[in-house]
Amino acid sequence: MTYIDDFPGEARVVRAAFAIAFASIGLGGALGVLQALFRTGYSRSLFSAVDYYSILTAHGVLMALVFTTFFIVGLFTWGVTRSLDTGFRDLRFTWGWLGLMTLGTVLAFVSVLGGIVGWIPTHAAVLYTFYAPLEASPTFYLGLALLIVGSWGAGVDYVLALREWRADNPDERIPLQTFMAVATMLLWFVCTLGVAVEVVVFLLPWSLGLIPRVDPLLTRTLFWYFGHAVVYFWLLPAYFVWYTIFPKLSGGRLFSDPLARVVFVLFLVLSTPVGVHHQYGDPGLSQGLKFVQMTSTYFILLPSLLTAFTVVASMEHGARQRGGKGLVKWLRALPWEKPSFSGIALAGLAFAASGFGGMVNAGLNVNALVHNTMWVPGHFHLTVGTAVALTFMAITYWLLPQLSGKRLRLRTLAAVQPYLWFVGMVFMSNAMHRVGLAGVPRRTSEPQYEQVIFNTPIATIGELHLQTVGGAFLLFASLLCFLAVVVSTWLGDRGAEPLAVNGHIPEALSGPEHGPSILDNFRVWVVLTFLLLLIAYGPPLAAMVQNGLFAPGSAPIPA
Amino acid sequence: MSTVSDRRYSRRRFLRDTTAVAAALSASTGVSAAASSPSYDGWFTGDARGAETKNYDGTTVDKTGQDSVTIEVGAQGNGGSYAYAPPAVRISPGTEVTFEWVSNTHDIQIESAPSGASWEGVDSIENEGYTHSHTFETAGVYKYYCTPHLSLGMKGAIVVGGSGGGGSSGGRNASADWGDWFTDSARGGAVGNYDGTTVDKTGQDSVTVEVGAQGNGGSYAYAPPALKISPGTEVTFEWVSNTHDIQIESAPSGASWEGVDSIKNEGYTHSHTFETSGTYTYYCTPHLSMGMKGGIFVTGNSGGGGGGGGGGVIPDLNWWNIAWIAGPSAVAIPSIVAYLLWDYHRAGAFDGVLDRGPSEAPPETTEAPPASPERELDHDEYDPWGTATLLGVYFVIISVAWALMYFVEFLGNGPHIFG
Repeated sequence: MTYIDDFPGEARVVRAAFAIAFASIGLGGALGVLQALFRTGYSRSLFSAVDYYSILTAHGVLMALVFTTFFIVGLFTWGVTRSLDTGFRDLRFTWGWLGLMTLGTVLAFVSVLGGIVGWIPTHAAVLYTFYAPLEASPTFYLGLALLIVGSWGAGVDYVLALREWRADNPDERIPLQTFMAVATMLLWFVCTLGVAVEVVVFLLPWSLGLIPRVDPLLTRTLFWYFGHAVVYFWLLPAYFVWYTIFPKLSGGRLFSDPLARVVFVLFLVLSTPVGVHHQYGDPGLSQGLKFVQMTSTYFILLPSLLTAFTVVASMEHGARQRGGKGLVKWLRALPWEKPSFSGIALAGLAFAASGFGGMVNAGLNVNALVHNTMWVPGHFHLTVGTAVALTFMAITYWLLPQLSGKRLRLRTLAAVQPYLWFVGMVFMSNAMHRVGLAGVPRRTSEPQYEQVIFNTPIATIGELHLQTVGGAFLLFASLLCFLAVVVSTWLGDRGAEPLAVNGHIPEALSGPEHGPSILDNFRVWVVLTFLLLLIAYGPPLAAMVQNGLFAPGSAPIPA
Repeated sequence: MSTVSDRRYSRRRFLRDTTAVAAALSASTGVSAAASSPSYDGWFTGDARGAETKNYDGTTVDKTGQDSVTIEVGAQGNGGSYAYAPPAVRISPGTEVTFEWVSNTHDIQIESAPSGASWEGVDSIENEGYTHSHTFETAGVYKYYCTPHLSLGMKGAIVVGGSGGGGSSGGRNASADWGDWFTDSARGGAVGNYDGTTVDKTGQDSVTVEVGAQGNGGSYAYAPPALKISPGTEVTFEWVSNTHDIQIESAPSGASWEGVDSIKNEGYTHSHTFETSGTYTYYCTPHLSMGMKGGIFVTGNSGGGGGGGGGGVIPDLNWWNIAWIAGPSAVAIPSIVAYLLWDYHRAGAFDGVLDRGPSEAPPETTEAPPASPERELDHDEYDPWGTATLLGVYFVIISVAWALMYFVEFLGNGPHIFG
């Protein structure tokens, strides 16, 4: 018996969500290679410098929004129903939100495609950070709105399932996986409010021509209210895997269940009132506000450092149970040949490196070194592009057999894939960070200027560009390995062979009964979240609204 | 009839053009678009500063003989409202050109103008409704661009003077464009021995140019004065009379030719192999005023991109680089495909895919049995000293990384946003 036998309907939902996620990572990855070639100047003949921005938008939206969101709703659907041991009440609702998300994705993607394909009368070269003054076709904004509203449906499903479970089990602690999924979706509800207002109230009417102009600062602020919390919406599902499945894959048990709950509560409360650290370069926001949000940004390092401790300690527990000894030698006792383990371990390593970059980004003064340079894409290719994406790929190797009843195939290829990804990303991301320090801008198709020479103390820009392109090809090869494993597993026969994995997850060393029960009271944490938001975002938004909602201080360019 | 490359052919402009045509016909001088199409030294291609000008289709709109001409600034083109329309115009000296802003945030920066020209363009960024007029008196080629949208290809050119029958043909890199170099509106006198023909020596390995040949009222000529060659051609300059040199007036960026700086006499020779595509112009210092000027046009090849030499941003594509880039994928992708085919073949999966029938009840899945640990470690028996060690190492690494980032990588470069 495995998950597909217990919940065949839910398993089908998860598989559908995963299929869309994998299609978009494949497409987005191919576009990523094109971008790397164009930006570094290795090939400028495939498309024009203008089309670059449509391709960049498609890459960003497919990877960061579509792949992540679909994988996350699939993963949480599995986690919630598995840990509560109950299916959703009405799968028609579940298919409804999944359909809405899919429709939104298709609309948004076709809108971006219109920038490249002549006969599609749309354009959306607004990049993943879609705020004014860049304007897309209304269909792009409509598509994104549907994608987000659909994902809200997923959150509603999880919350309803939890309420039902609580009615039956009034005195029990919430199972950890459900706790994490619900905390993450509450964070998602809170932060998507900002982007929903940006899209529905401002950008959509503006692109339809119903309102003549919008305030770029207001729409940017609303976007970044969402735009930093969204990274935790990507990261927390990876943490969900690191906390609840990774200890088992290491051969051990989770070190502390209450610590895991504290971490998720901290993320729920602290993720959103930090968005202004993306706007350190913006005029129109006071230095004082930037300082306040810098402080809260540094607070959010805390739960990630807690995670580093808990997850590594759980991994060490596994190694010691497998016979590992010594202060560092125990690392060799871990199952590095299993892709589900090695992928997550390498993802964690990448996240440790990118944590350093994140601290640099967060500092108000040091940020000036790297603001809007290639450093920033280098940073998020390590975080969302490796810590999150590699975790998702790795856990697919463990999860897909249980969702499909099919034994994983092409296991040699699967075993190589995480290492290929990690090495490729080390090359590409390191080079991107370092050209960023030399001042090479991001979001630019041809980063070269007659009056400017970018200086690097070690190596040359040319060598770093070579590393970028070489890394991009390794990443693409790794992606092809992953897709080959997934597709060939999918084509296999259900139940033909016994699975190589099992869904058993051992208890934590320190169980939920060791933590205070207030941790499970989401009402308290949501109220606290809104209080912090009022402090962090109340004054600046009030000032912008007083300034006139549709009457910006300076004329939008282009009008 | 007049054809204008701009698609948005407004009624007003239609009326203006038809009037012009009627006037021209009554004066029995044919007005034809694209009477001649100079190549503008590749100004409209991606090889020059900025991107390729997509709304330039190789036609220069001929407006010679008209008193006033209008150019739209910010017309549709180049992927948005980023075009001058028409991008290339030929006018007669004394024509007033009016630039009309039809969209926002554009300026007119002058890339090059004939010497003595007084036009200064529009330095500030202006919006829709703004107009700027200038009466062009000095003959020659004016090139200009829009600062914010240069990288999108928003470039333009105006040719003042010159006849319609220049004898050059269309096609990129096919014909040399000497601008006004051989006329007296450029530096020095008019070149008497230049009759409008560019001697085509493309495809030859070596070519000879005589220095101090008969012409320009004495032995003051380069023969032939205008030459077209392929990249890699060796040109030998042979002094056939006394006291001449070769000063370079203009050369493509990245070109290595340095001419002959000192005055040489009969019997001297100088050779150079021209690799870099583009237009080279040169003159003789003592006899410049007589019109002793010459030009070499090196046709295009596939190599090179803008700014390759100076900035070092684009590495040159050599075989080593190509191997580096293509190597990983050349190994990885075929291996993956081969492995897949082999694996499918081994498992007989192709048969399974083809004749998969509907099964009634799915078979139940068997999971792997839960593994029991080698030795069970309980809560109280386990102290994560290894974790403490790793995290300690991590904090040391990020401290070093911080110092490296700030003191090594950054120090010496100024902040990019503030200050």
